[in-house]
Amino acid sequence: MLQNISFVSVKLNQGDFNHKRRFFLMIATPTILMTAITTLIPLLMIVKDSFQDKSGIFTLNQYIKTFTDTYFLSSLQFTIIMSSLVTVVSIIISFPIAYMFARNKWMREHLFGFVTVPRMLPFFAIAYSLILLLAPVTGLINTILVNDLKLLSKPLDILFSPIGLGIGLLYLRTVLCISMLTGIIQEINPNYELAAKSLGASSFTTFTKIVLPLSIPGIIAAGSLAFSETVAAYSIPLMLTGRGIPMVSILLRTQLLFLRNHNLAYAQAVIVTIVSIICVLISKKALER
Amino acid sequence: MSSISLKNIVKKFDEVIAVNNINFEIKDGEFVTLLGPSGCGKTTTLKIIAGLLEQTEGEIYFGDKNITNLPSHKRNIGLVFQDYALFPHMNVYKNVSFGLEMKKFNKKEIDKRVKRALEMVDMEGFEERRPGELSGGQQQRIAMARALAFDPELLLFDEPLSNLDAKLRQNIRLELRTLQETTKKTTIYVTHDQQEALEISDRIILMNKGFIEQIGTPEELYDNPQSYFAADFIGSNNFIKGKVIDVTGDTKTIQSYENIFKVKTADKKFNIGSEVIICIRPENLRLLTDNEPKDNVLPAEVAHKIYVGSLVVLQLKVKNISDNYLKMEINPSEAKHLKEGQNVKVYFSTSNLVPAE
Amino acid sequence: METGLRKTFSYILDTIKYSYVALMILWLIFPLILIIYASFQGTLDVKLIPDKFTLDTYRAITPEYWKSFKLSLVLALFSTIISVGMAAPAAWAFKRGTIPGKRFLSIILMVPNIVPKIILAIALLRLFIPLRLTNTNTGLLIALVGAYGLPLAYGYCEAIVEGIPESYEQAAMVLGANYPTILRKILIPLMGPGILVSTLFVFMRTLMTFLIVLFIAGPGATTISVRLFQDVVERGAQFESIAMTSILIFITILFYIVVNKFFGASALSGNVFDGKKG
Repeated sequence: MLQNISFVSVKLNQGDFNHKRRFFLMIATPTILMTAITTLIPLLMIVKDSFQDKSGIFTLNQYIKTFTDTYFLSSLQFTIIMSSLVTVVSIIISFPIAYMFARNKWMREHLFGFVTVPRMLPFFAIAYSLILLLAPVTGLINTILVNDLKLLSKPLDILFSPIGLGIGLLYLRTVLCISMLTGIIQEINPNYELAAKSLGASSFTTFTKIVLPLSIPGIIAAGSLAFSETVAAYSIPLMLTGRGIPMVSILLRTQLLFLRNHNLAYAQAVIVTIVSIICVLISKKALER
Repeated sequence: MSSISLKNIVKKFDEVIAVNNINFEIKDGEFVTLLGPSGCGKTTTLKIIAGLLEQTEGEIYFGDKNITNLPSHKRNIGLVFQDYALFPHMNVYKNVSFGLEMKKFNKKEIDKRVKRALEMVDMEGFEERRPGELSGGQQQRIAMARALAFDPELLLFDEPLSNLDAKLRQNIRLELRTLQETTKKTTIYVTHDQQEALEISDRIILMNKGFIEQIGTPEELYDNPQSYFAADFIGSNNFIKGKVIDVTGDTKTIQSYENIFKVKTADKKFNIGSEVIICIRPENLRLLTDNEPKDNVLPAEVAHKIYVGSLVVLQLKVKNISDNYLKMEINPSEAKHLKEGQNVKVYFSTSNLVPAE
Repeated sequence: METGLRKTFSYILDTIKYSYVALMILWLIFPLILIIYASFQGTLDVKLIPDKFTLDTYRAITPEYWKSFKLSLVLALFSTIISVGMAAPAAWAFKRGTIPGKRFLSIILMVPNIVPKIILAIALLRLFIPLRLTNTNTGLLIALVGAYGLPLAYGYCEAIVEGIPESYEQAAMVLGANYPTILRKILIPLMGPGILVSTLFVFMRTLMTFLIVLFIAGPGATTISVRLFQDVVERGAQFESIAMTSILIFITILFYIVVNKFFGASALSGNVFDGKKG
């Protein structure tokens, strides 16, 4: 009698472990579905379209056109050179201050806001300020240099040139790099530096022989992220491109919105994406170490 | 009835078999330790008993009740975690009363039981404090109080003392054992510290690589290890490899290099030709002081003499035995005349035999 | 003599250090200062020493801008609530639970963080055109949640769940609590503050976001970022745009101060690792 009762009560509870699995899946499903529908599926659609032409026939034409289009190639070259330059410069100027933030509590508590707030600004804050600063006639710099200090006879015309663009991109990447590098350097055990000093190393030697080598994975991580963001950068180039070759994303825009060469644009988009994904994966790998 | 039995429990993580066909029974009120090196499956087994992990195969019984599929929160078990897991956002009172709230006791009853639980662990007056304000040892006690307060059928401990310093460990583990004897709760205790297991258990289940190596009382495990692993893991041991060349009654004659040893064991599994290892505890090695003929004599050189307070540990270099030293423990008074580099003769009469691996 | 040289040397080093830090801070904040400074000058002819100090630029902000701003607020509010509401349980399920095919599914969740924003925007456009969702508020909401808010919120929530040792939930479970109780008494109190901060961050960034909106709703879209952008492209810099941008900057600064006050500086630096912007 007793055994029968316990048998029944065991039966009733049997579903519980499997219940758990279904439960977890259930609450994760909306997120997974939403992400798949809004990102994965559209991306796959684009990849599919990139292998077609206007009439829907399967073809590699778009890619062939892309790789033989000298304008696209020179734009890609310009983009990569610009991105590399911006990345390298931003790492160089960001690293020292990131190190200071990482090791100095006072700075972290009182000055880090100067990094966080720019990170949250809409992108055209920097674009706007560059316009105000560098405009050929009314820009602040030119007003000072030409009118007030009389150092130049003609105003500097750098606003809508690669230099102005570079400055804008550099600003955004600097903000990113300082943020990332601070966190990364904080992860490096400060005892290594103390050990080096106790063994007789000067601050400079400690920095070059201990801190820098240990920071290399972090630099690669921040650098590849900055690089990939700059290669695919859209908003800043959109506002600040004028003369000279545009960056790749602007070219994409022209193809897509004005020339209506959708398939070609998609092929170009795929190429940019691949470059970007490679960089991001490098970054993640570097951080794992 | 709060006895537990595990029948054929297997746990696989993907391809890895963490727990391989575990069977044991624990009697009501017993204090049993799951002992073994890291990765042997003891914590996995504990979590399966608690219902926090689902076994791949096998069944668990509490007394007559098959609880194999019973979810964790219905199993009525007290578990003390290695990191204590005291809820950081609740004070001591709310932590300890949590299990009682789940069981829907009324306020008066909860008050009473919380007070009693805190008394049992010597932490009265700490009700309003937060876990973050307590030291490691104090947190450990509160974790115990929380596990005891709601009167579970079974108490489980997952290496509860490993985060404490040595002296504290020693004190608390004795208190733990006393507490268990007072409350008479069936207890399963997981640790990798064999010293700890020997001190506080009624029985020890020695595990290795997912298997049970040996089950027995602390005396049984110490005096009679059944395998090389058991002999090596529990306490200190000296090992001499050899081959059985003669069996006369209970006495096995073993040859190792040029040495002949006579070991007395009732175990029938050692026959002529068996490859064996002789295990000699350091305290069972003796200095040969007279010239009476004895078995198992070895000439040795005193390599190191180490004074440890209540004992002297001698490291002896012996020819043709192995590359290792023999470790020997004797009274400081006996060791007074010994010097490093001196040649001595040692012998043993108590030893174990285990199969060679 | 030796010490004198050494002292001068370290003095020079210190000066270099301090000037470097000062320069970097200046570099970081010059856009904000410039725009705010310019917004009070009433003219696009920005001078170092202004002719006048006026609130004209602010008065010039058109009702259109305020309408756009309100729309941005509403969209950001809804998309944030939806994003966090979906992401928090999902993060918990992924980190704690057994989900069939977990590894494969988590790759899907990583996609929006790996692919550049512009590509996501183009892809969404490609999806929305046949569905006729372009230029609709519903479409915008879906886009903001799926391609922007949700991945962002998920990243934050994942970190929060990772920060809570699983043993708390296990302890509660062994003490007899079922899942709803664990949620109520353990998870929500412990995760709550983190989720709150993350919600604020997701809200702020969705508010300011530009790219996705530009593509889905076109230049005619009426969220504030697109509006400000379009005006510059069409008519060049206008002082009402500068004023509006200043207001956005003020909001950002206010946000920073509020979070710093209530949640401490650690809440802010912890959110720094996310990937993409602009």
